[in-house]
Amino acid sequence: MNTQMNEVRSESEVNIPAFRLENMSIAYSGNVAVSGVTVDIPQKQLTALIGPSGCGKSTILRSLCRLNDLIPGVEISGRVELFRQDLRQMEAITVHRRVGMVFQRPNPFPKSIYENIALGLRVNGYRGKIDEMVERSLQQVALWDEVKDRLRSNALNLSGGQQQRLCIARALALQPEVILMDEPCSALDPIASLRIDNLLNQLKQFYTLVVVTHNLQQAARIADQVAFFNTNRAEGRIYGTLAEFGPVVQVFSEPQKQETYDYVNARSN
Amino acid sequence: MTNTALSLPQIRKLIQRQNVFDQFVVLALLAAALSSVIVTAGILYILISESVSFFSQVPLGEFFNLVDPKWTPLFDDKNFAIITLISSTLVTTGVSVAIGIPMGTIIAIYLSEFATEQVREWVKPILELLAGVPSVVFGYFALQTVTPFMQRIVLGVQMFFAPGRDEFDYYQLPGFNMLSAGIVMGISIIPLISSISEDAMRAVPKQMREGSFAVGATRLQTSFNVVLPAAISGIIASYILGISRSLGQTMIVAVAAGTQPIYTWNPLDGAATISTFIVEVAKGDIEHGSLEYNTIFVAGLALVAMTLAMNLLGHYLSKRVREVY
Ligand SMILES: Nc1ncnc2c1ncn2[C@@H]1O[C@H](COP(=O)(O)OP(=O)(O)OP(=O)(O)O)[C@@H](O)[C@H]1O
Ligand SMILES: [Mg+2]
Repeated sequence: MNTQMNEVRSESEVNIPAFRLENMSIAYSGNVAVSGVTVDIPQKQLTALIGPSGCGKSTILRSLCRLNDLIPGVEISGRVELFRQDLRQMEAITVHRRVGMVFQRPNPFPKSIYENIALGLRVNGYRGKIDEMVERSLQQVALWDEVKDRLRSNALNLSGGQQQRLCIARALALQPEVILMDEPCSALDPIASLRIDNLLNQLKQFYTLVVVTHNLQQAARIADQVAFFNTNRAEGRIYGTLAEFGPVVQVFSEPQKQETYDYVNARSN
Repeated sequence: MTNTALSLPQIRKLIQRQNVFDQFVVLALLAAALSSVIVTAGILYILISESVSFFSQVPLGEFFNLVDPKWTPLFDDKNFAIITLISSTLVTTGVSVAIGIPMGTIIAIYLSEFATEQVREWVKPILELLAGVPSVVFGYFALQTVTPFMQRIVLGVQMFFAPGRDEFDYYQLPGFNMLSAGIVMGISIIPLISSISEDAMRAVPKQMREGSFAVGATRLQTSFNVVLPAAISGIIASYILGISRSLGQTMIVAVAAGTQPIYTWNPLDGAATISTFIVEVAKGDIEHGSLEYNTIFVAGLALVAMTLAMNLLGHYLSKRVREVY
């Protein structure tokens, strides 16, 4: 019965976007951070969010997994859908279970390396072998060889880059439908960062990925779609808007707007 | 030359003056820190020197007598088995901890992880008020309110399980008992434990909680799996402060647990704790330098030793716990 339902779902849903944002605006205590974003984020592809600092990339990402609920004074307007469902009407926990998140700064739990991954599995009632899943997800982020002898030691003793890979492994272990990543490689060395790029390229066959990055080369290597956000000024306030969205080749080589061209060619105005 | 720049000798002089000032400040800070060390050392010196003169008159075997312990230093037939006082100190502290630690921790978790800002604004001042209640008031609360209440409960429990007897044939909880004193001591340390634990939990970075929510954990799961372990050393510190406070608690036990130095481990009995004994003796007129006088200090030394052991245990525990996760 379950498989039947899944089949019906997959047939009708194969082409629907993972996220559909309609005129979405987000404000912190009345200060608009992002305004009027309308975009369809396709499923099973990697969408990169790029743009200058402060244009609201993290803000959007946090709203897509309902983490902004926790911040008092956040107002969201417009409509957000997750696979056709109204995201803002869903239970926050359901959203958290379907949409994984890797944060800008690594935030492992103050527990052992093993527990960092096992905890998420346990709270989600994972039925399989936890040991195997821990190993598999650590392998995926190329951390296994570095930590396999000290799985029981505290994750906070890892280096920043190792912590970030652990956080990615933690999200992967739960096999969510969508994984959001906020500058996942900003704390990594070039080699480790390249490994993550390769991982992301593999993962996008199975998952919908939305990745914020300041590294345009990385965006070019990994992205299918690119969303470029820009900052605007009105009455002394700065807020972000979606300036351009399209396939990676188009945004980088034939941008439709001058501001996109300037940004991807690293020109300031 | 209207140059604002300083010449090299001028800069040297400035740095020198700065250095002298810095050194002065460092010395002042050091002196402040040393003063607490000196006071502690002074107290210890007095306790130990008086105890030395005590042990020159009382054999160690008598002091650590566990076989037939009695504590009767003010009688003609003198007995000095300290376990008599230690047992009641441990019993009242145990009851107090059994109340104060769970309640304090639950309140801390609630305030830090669940309560809205409005609820916190209400509850925190009430807790502060509780912390400000003088211990003698707590003592009479234990004696006048909690003890009668506990007496009815003890009676009710017996009547429930063995009905049919005359009311006075049942066991009666004595008017002075360590249970009531311990319960109220537990209530009195709730604000201490909850406020320190809450501070420790609120200091846990919010990114850590977000990481937990992002893997689909509930608030409760996040509190226990992420926030508690991250704040554990602060929480253990609050427990140790609470326990030390209970060990040394004087007024509540003196008022509600009685002043009879009886050797017992039963919380339903009344018995004098170490600090009860010290105030009792200090109230009476005993000769300076006499053996009775020395017993105050030897009892005080025992109390200090217990508190110290508590602190060492806590230190060890918080280190252990940190290594385990
Ligand atoms: N918790 C918050 N409370 C109030 N304002 C916030 C909060 N978080 C972000 N902002 C504001 O929202 C705007 C967008 O911030 P955001 O973190 O989304 O930018 P970003 O695009 O991720 O920048 P960066 O590339 O530097 O990470 C900024 O002006 C910021 O000051
Ligand atoms: Mg950001």
